Amino acid sequence: MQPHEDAVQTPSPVQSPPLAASSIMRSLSGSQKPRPGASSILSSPTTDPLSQLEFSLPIRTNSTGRRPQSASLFRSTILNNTPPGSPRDASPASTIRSTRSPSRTMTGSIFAGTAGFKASLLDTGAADSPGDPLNLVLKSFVPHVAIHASEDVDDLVNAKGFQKGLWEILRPFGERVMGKVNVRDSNGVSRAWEDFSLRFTKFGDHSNLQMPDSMDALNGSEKQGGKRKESPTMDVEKVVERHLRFAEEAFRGTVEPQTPTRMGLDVDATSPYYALYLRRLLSGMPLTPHESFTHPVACVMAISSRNPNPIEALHRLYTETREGEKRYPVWVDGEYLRYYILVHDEENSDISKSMALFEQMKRNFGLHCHLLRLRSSESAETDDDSIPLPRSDWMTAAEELADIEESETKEDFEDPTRHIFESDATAIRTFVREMATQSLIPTMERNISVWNDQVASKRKGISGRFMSLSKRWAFGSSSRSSGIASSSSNYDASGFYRPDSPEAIMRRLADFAFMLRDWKLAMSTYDLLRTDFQNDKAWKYHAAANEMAAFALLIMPQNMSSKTRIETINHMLDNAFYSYQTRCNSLYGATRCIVLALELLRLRGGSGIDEAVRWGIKVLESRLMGKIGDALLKERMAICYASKSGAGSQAWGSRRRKSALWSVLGAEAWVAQEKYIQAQKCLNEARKMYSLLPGENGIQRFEVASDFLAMLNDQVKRGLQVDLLGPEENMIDVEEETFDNDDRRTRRTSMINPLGGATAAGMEMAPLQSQGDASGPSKDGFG
Amino acid sequence: MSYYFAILSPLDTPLFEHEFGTSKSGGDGQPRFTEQARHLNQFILHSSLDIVEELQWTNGQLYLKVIDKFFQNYISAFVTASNVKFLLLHQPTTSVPTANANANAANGAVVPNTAQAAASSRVNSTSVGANPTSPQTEEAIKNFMNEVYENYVKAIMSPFYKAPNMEIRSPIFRQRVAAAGRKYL
Repeated sequence: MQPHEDAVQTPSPVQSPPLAASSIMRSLSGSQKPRPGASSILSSPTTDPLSQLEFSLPIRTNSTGRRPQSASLFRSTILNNTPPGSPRDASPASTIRSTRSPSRTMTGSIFAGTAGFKASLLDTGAADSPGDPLNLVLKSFVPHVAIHASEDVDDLVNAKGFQKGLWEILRPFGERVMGKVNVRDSNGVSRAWEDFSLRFTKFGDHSNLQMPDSMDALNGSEKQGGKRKESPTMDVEKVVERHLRFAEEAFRGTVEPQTPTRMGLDVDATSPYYALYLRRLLSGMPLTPHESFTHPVACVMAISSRNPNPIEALHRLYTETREGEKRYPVWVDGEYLRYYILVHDEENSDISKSMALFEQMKRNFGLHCHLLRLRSSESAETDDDSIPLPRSDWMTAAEELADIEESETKEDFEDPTRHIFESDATAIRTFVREMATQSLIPTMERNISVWNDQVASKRKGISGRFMSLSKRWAFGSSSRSSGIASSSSNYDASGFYRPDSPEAIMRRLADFAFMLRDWKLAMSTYDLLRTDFQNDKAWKYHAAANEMAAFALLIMPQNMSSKTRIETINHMLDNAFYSYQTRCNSLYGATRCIVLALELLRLRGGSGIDEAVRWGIKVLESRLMGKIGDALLKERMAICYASKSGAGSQAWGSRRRKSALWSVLGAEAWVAQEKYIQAQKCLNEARKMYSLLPGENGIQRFEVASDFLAMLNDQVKRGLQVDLLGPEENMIDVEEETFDNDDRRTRRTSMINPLGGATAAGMEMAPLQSQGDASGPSKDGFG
Repeated sequence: MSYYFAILSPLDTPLFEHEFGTSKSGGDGQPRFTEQARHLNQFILHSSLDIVEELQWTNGQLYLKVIDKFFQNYISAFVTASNVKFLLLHQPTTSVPTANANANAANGAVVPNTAQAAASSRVNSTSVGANPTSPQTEEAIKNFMNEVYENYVKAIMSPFYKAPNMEIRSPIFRQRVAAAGRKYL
C-alpha cells in the first residue's frame, strides 16, 4: 500500500518499554523465574542502578504488603533508564531506536562566532532519545486529532476491555507514526521524518479547556477557568512526587544500601523524573484561543460494521462536530479535516458487506476514509498473539494521578495493562500511517501554502507592512486610549481573534509549519504576529507568539551572528515571560516557555548554557514551580553547567564549580523533602565535579561550606539507612583526610569531614522525621 | 548591603576571609548575612571562580568588575600576580528584607533600634549599595580592591609567609582590609 513497505515492518509505535515492563511485572508478581530477557537487562553493566532496584522489588512488596501491580504505573521513571539498545524479549512488535548520541550538546559553540556551525538542532542527534527534552518538544507540539466514535464502536471496543472507547486504543499508536513520513516545506523541499507523531484526543472532552479571561467573566457560572489556572503544574508536581516516593519506598526494602549511593547524575541521559515532569507539563497543554496546537487538525469519525444505518450515523456524527453540544468553542476553526473510518468486526460481521459499505462511504465522503479491521473479543495476556498495549506516554498529569490514587486506595486494584491482538495492532498502525501520510499531512501542507499565499504574503509584502503601520499611526492616539476594542483591530472584545481573521489564520499557519518542522516559515510568521499582537494588546497571543518564535529560532539552523542571535532570543523570551506572567498571570505558559527555552539554549551550548541557567534562576526566583519542580530544576542546572566543556587541559570556560554548586543546592532541596536517593545522586555529582577541579580541593577548605556539605551527606546517609537493618559497615566509608603542608594536596576528594559539635546538633532533625515517615502506613506489614 | 570578601589561591583554597557591612549612609559596618547565607556565600564565591578563569584571559585589567550574579548576590573580582584572586560578594539589603528583619529581631538586643531604622533608610538611590552595577559602586569597589591589593603585597613580603598558598593570618592585614571596607564601601 505504501512505498515504504519494507521500512514499515521494523519500527512500530508499540514500543518495548511496556514489554520490558511486563517481563518485570512477571518477575515482580512473584512465582516465576525471571525471564532471560529481563534478567539480562537488569544485570547488564550499563544498566542504571535505579532499575536494579527492580530485582529487590519482590522483597519490598512482600514485606510492605503493597501490591505489585502498581509498579507498572511507575515504570516510566523506573524503566526509562534502561538503555534502549539492550536485548529484550523477542517480540515482533518490539522495536526501539538504538541510536543514542554520545553527547547531547553541540561541541562547537554557536555563540562563540564559529561561522561553520550552522546546523539545526535536529541534526545533532539529540532528538532521538525518548527522554531528551528536545525530543519532548518535538513530540509535544504535534497535530491533534480528535476521535469521535458512534456508540456501536464504543460497544465493540468496550468488549475488548477498553472502557474509554476507541480513543483509548488509538492513543498509544499516535505516539509514533510507523515508518518515515515525508513532509514538504514551503519551498517544496521534502524531508523525511522518522519520528512523526500525532496526539489523539477525545472529541468533546474539554477538560483542558481554557476560556479567554474576559469570557470567563461574562458567564459567571463557569468558574472553572480561574480554578484551573494553577492545576496543571500542581498535578504534575503530585505525579512526580508519587514516582519519587515509589522509588524511595522501593529502595527502603532493598538489602544493599549501596546501589543508588554510588551513582551520580548522568549528563547525557535526562533524569527520568525531570523527563516525566516535562512530559506531564507538556501533555497538559490547555485548549486555548491564543495558540492552535491543541486545536484539532482533523477529526476522526468512526462507525462500526454493526451499525444498522451507517451512512446516517456518519452524517449524525458530522453534524455533531458542527453544531452539537460537544463541539469546539467558537475560537477553534471549524474547518478541520473530517476523516471517516469504518471499524469492521472481524469476528461477527461479514467482510464483503463491510467492503460494500466502505465503497459507499468513499462515494459519499470522498477519499478520507479507512476500513479498520479489528477483532471484537478481548485479548488475554496468555494468548499467543497478544501484545500489551502501552500506557500512553502523553497522558495528562490528572489522568495519571487518578490512576495512581486508585492503585493506592482500591483493594482489588488490578494491573491496568491491557492486551490487544497483534493483528489489531498492525491494523491500527497501518491506519495511523495511512491517515497521517495520505490525508493529514497533505491537508496541512495545502493549508500552509494557501494561507501563506493568501494571507501571510500580503502581510509580508510592502503594502502589508504599510497597512500595519497606518493602522498603528492613523488611529494612534484614539485607539491607544480605548484599549483592545479599537475599531481597526480584529481582536475581539471578548479576548480572542475570530478564526477567520488574518491574525488567527496566520497563527494557525505558523503552528502548522511548526508541527511540520518548517522552522523558517514558522519563525518568520511568528515574528510578524508578534508585532501585530503587541499593537492590539492581545497579550496572551503576544506571549505565545514570542515564545514560539524563540523556540523556532533556537531549533532552526543559524545564520545570524552570535550576538544578535542571543539578543533576539533573549528579547523574545523576555517579552513572552513578561506577558505570560505579569500581564496575563498565566503561570503555565510562563513555566513552559522558560523551561523549554532553557533546554534548547542548553543544547545550543557555548554561552547558551549561561543563558539557560540565567533563565532557570528566573524561574526559581518567580516561584513558578512547586518544591519538586524546584529541586528538579536545580538538578537540571547542575547538568546544564556540567555539559559546558572547557578548552585545553585546564578546561578554561567550563563550569564545574558552578555545576557542583547547583548539585549541592539540589541535594539540599531533596533532603528537605526527604528524597534521599535523589539527594545522594546530587551529592555524588557534586563530589565528582569537585574532584575534577585542577586544585582538587573542591570546597573543603571553606570551613562553613564543607561543614554544610558534611551535614547534608550525613542526613542523606541516615535517611537512606532509616529502615535498613544493615550494620554500620554498610555506611559509606568516611575517608580520612590527610592534610599536607605542601601545596600539592591529597587526591582524596571526600567531603566528609569529621563533624563539628555545632552541626551535629542541627542534624538530628531530618533522620528523626524520616523515621516517623517510614513507620507510617506503608510499613504496616513490616517485621 | 553586606559584603563577603575572600582571597583565593590558585588551588581554590581561601587564604583570607572577611565579612563586613556597609559603612556608608549610616551603616554600622556589620554584615547582615543570615546564618543560612554564610555557607551559601562560600559556595557562590567558589563557583564564580569558573567565570573568573574565563574572563581573566579576555580582560586586560586586574579589576574585572562585577563578573557574576547569583540570585541577589553580585560578585566582583580582582586578579593579582601568581593567579591569586580577590573576590567580593555583595548583597544589597533589599534582596532579603524579611530574612534580615528576622535576623535582626533574633538578636534584637545587640542591634539597637536606631541601627535598624538606619538600615532601612539606607536604601536610596545615591548610596553605593543600592545598585551593585552602577559606575559609583564599581569605582568604590575598585578603590577598595586596590587598597587591599597594596596591603596584600606588603603582607606577603613577610619572610614567614610562603606565597601563594599559605593562609594569611596577620591581624594587621585584617585590620587594614576592614579599614578599607569602612573607607570605601
